[in-house]
Amino acid sequence: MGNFVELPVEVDPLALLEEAFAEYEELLQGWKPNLGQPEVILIQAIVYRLVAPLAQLAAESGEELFNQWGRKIVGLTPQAAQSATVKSKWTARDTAGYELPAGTQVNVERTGSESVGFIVVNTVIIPPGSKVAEGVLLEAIEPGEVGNGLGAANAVTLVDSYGWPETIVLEATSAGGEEAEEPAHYLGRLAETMQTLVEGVVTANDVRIVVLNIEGVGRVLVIDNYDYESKATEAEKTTTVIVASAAGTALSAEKKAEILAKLEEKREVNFIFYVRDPAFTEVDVTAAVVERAGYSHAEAVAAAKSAISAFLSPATFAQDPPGDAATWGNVKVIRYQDLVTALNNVQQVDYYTELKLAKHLGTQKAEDLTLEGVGPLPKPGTINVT
Amino acid sequence: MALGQIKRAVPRLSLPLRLEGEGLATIEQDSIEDVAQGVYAVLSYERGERLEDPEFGIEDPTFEVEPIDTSPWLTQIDRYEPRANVQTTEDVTELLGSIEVQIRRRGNG
Repeated sequence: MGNFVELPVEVDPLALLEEAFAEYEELLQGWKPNLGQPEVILIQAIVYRLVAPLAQLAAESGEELFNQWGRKIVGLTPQAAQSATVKSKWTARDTAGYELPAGTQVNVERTGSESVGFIVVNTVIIPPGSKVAEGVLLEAIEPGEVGNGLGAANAVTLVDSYGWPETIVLEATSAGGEEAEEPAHYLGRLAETMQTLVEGVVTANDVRIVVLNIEGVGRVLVIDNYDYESKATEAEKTTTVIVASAAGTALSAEKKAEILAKLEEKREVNFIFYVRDPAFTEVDVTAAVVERAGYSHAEAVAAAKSAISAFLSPATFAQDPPGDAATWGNVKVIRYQDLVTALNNVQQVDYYTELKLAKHLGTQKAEDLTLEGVGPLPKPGTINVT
Repeated sequence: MALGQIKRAVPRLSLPLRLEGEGLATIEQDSIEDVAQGVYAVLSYERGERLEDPEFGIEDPTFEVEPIDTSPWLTQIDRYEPRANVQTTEDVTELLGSIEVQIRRRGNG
């Protein structure tokens, strides 16, 4: 695999040095660079220890960004280094019975001057009456291939100072040590993995994401298994998509056709989509408020009116959580308590003496209001605040 | 004397860097101080420290057996500060002490 995401950032330290020296010479005619000279030491330090490493870092940042993207967003984990393992046979000096604790360290000589550290993986008990523990699993301390290829011919010495082991012998050839995956190899694997991912809409959330990415769409409510025409609620492979602008207004017929075309382009076989407008319900509210000390009644009325209108706005109604513009819960009831909260949160209002609501021109009451239709959204109707 | 004939002194920063008045102390290029400073730099760096020229400097003498052989130091001075003509040498038997190196500028003394 090549470094296919290395950025074209190239810095020639020598050229930079020559350039800096030339400028210095121009500034101070007769000046000659000398390795032992502070100016030269400083310039060289800046170029070799600051500029060149930063340029290298910049060149490698693309690879690192894709690496992080693959790990954290795609969820493809690079292969970590693996330690070599091998089974060993431990012989005690007598049959008194001993415990060989996990983590006990030994060195296995590869050559006369080179050895590889291993630890005992699991605690092993040599019961009284026995002198030998076979199959004791050892694992190389340093991950990678460094621990591979050691066997019975390689001498094993105990690092920890237990008095009882008489001999330690490897029973097989150590194996399984692997180096960590090279970044370039990982990115190659990431690229291949991405090619296997299905580009399409499978879940309701896929639909929401695809539709929200279409220009002009601000709000999307996806009702899975709902057939908008037949009103069937358990319709398999059928999805109703309610769409609106960011302001909560209905989209044009052309825009809805564009959305449907996009979904059909990406759908799986036999999937049916309905793209429809929200069911808007105009809501009237009547309130009588008492201003908080420090505010005029007119200020309290204006602020209350504004807060009630915002509460009923189709741009933000049923956001879940509130404030997250990308969400729209399928809420079908305006809770009276929520309206009370909206009013209570108005700084200029101390309390209200009257608060009721109803569908436009209906009989207003101080109770919940059920909205009608599929994908309902309220709209402020007559907001009368005194 | 024409202006072009005026020989202007070329300043160099003093090593080690130190403040003098409102700025950094300087010495004159090609002065005996400049040459001495070059020798000081060669003897102050351990080989490999200067990334741009890993050969610059001397081997770390910390674990050498005393008296320390200074002939490689002279070779390095000759290579990196050829303006210097080392006049006297003495055996280095105490690394924690200071070493006085007498030098003369080659050519015009």
